Amino acid sequence: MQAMQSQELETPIGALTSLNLSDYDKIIAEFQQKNAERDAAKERVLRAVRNLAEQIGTVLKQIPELELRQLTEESRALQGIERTISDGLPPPGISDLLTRFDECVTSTSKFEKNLPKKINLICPAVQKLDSKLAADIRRLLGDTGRIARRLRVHYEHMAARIKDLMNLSTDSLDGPVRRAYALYAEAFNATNGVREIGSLEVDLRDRLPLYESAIRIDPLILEDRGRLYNLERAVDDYVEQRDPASVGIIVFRFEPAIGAA
Amino acid sequence: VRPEETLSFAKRLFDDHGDSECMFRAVAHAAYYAVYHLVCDQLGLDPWRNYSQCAHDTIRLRVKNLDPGKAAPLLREARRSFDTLWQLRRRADYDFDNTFTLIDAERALERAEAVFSRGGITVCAEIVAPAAIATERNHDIT
Repeated sequence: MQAMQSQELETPIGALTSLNLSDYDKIIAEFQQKNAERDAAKERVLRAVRNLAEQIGTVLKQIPELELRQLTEESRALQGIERTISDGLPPPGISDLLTRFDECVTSTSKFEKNLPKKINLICPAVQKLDSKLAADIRRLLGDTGRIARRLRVHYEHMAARIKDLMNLSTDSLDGPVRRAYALYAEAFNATNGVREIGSLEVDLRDRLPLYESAIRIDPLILEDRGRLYNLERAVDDYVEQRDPASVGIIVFRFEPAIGAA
Repeated sequence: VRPEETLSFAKRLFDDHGDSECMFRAVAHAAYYAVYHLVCDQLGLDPWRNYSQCAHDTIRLRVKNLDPGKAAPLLREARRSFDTLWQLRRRADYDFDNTFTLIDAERALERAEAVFSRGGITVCAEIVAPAAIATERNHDIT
């Protein structure tokens, strides 16, 4: 849980929403009670708002670097998805990405909606105690509002882009990897000792997707260096004769066929 | 050090592997890097001086985009095997939860050897002594 929280803080939205503005409701309310211990309440408000100003200052310093890192990661993810689609395959985990972007929109919208209420609560109270601090906190909270708005617009745009890509990634896609897989499947099916051809797995962790498929073969072939080597070369040759561009764009993982002799 | 020396080192490791999984992993690692450096060399890139242009993804993409009809035999063979070697190296270096087998090491080594052999580069398991390399280089210069 702690690891997850620190991971959330490593994103611009995580840093922004770590400013828990609801903490100030009680402190300000106590200060506004006429019969309260005024001096102690004043001191608590000033301390809390100075602390908030410091926290916002730290977050504002962190945001540019966090945003840059986040944009790099998102751009890499989108590149991988676009490449997979142009290779003829529906990219995995695309709906998870849409969920993530939708959540970003929700949390920034919530922050944005909540912010004016907090400004109207905190600033007039602080104005009575320290006008400079009141001006500072108003400016700082205004800055967080502008960042939240920018992030919301960005994630609305990202969610729309992902929806467009989802509409493109249908089963009827065509592309070089899909065609290569069909040729390799044909070659493996025609090879003695091959028992099962696994589906295509897409690894999007790097900028260029990696396509891999598990091939279940007779364990006797797997244990024989020469036979496995010959099998791999024969399959590549088969594909090369039919479409030279298809060779080598899919990686095969050989596994022993379960229950085979 | 030349790419073929890295491959000789991989072969020598393989021949002396015993039953050590660490050794299998080291073989796949060295086999990949031998091909990676050979390919960079063929593409006229120095991975140290042209660091950003030699990122693994970039080299994978350049190899994938080669026209098999026009590429030299060595690069055509590299195109066949580069992703397989890269994946085996990634598993060897990072996937410590799953066993890396003798077969995995053999596959990496054979794929790498095929690339070198297609380029007419003979690789022996013996490690060439540094003095011999220096003499050879002097001959090349003169």
